[in-house]
Amino acid sequence: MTQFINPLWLLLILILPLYWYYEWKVKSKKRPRVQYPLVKVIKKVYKYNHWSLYIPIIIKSVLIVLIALALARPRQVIEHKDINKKGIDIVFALDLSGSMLAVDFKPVNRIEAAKNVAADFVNLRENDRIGIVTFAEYAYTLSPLTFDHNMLLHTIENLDVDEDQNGTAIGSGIATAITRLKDSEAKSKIIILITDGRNNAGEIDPMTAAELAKTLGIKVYCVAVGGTGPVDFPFLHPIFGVQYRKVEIDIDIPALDAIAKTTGTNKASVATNTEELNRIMEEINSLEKTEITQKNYYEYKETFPKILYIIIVIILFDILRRTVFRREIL
Amino acid sequence: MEASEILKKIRKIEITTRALVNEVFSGEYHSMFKGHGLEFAEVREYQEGDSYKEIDWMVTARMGKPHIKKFNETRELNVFFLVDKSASSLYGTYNNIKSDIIAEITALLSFSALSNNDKVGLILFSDQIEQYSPPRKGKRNALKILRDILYYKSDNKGTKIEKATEFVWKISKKRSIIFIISDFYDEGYEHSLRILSRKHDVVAFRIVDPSEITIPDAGIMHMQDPETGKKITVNTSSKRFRENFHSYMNQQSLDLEKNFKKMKIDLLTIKTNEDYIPNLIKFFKNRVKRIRKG
Repeated sequence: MTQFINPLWLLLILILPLYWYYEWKVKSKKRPRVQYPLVKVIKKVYKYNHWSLYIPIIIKSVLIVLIALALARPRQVIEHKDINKKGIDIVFALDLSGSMLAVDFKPVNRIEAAKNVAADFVNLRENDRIGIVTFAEYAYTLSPLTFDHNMLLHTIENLDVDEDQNGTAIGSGIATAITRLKDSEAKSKIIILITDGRNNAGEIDPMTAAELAKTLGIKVYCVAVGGTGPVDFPFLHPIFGVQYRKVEIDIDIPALDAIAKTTGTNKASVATNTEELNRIMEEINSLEKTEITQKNYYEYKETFPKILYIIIVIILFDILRRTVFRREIL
Repeated sequence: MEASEILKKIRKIEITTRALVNEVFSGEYHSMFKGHGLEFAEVREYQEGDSYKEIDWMVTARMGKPHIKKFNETRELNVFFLVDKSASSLYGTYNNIKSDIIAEITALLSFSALSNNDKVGLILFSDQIEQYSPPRKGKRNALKILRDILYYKSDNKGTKIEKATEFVWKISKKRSIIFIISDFYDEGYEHSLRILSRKHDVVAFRIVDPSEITIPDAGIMHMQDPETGKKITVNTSSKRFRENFHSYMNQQSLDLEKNFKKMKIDLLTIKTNEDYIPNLIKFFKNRVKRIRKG
């Protein structure tokens, strides 16, 4: 990055038009001239106005610009950031069970909606380490805690429901997330649990996991996606392709509330549409403010000596031009 | 120029030219010009060798034998100097500016005329008639003419040779010798010059500076025309430009010479950087030969 210390000097460039005016109008009048009786003939013969006539003016204009640049003192700023961020650690625990395919965040289904808000959230938490855990029948870590948010966004984009797994192991999901967070030294550790079902698989009871989280000082935000009542659910018809039918999906909100309460986040939030989901994520975002004390060190490299060298070279060239190569009379 | 300086210059020119007048032009000058102002001398019988053109038919008829009528050339010719005083005459890149050469030549010729008892008149012109001194005899007049040429400062800068030739045409009733000394950077004078040359003996001296034929390679030059005030900036290092200019001026010179030849006016081009005396002598000698032939 280049910055100018005295950028006002750049205004000096504005005198260029004035200088040109002076050259065309004033100086050409006052300039001493060789009295030569055959200007008429020269005008006939010298039809082409060779560009080299303007060399003196070009040189002076360039010098004015360069001097203005040098006076403005450009310098290169090399920034050293102290990457001692004291953010928080966040793990998304994302439900990828089959029920997430239900289309109640029209026009997208639950999983797409969840992915969108997760991506937005990642973008908002620039200074936090984020990890991703998915679960259905079993829980997997897709990404450990990392600052590499680009990679996270990519990972989130590629998430999809694992149709081979039956069941929703909320307990396992939370437990896996806890595993990711347990060694963290961040001052605040949270799990964002996005689910739409009831714990019906896995070997760990959600409440046990919640207790575990509590002991480790991990807060679990529970976000229930999807409303109660029948919802459009896609199935693959052997003849007609993808079809939708109404299905009753049952969210165990009291259980989620209990987890929330245990880990100190009051109660679970329920999102039945995209706006609600967004609002909830914003709420979580605002609750988990991180204060970053980031120290920046700057190293400056002055550029004006280089410009001065160029100016000197141009002046020397001009002297040579006047004396040796292309003399100028008067 | 200061008055004393001019006096010095006049003196110098006078001395150098007097020697030349005595040595070179003493014998030649008289025959240099056809005197057709004639004075009746005698009528006598035709002898062998006489030109049949001179036979007077009236007398011959009366006497029955061929008689010829003889005339003597009247000397006391009127000599006019038409001297260019335009701004371009103040130009010169070598030792002399054009007007110096002009003054020297005028002095040389007017002293020659003086030694031949001719009357010398002067017309200074630019784009109009600047000054007119009617033809007079005497050394004083010759010196006055020299002083006028050197001293006179013209306010008008242009060149109009036509004005001068028309003026001489009006004032000179008698057949005269007319010297036009100029750089001939003018147009449209040919017609009046031709008319003038039918009656008078016109001799033209063209004074040019070498830099008016070949522009030196001097880099970028800001020029102004002293006559028109037009300005131009040229890169004289451009070879193409210098060649074009040179060929243009050469062509111009050739055209001028051809024109004058057609008008039967003798033209001598004198460069400000050369010693013009030998050229001048040669020029007049050729002229004498030509006149004797014709």
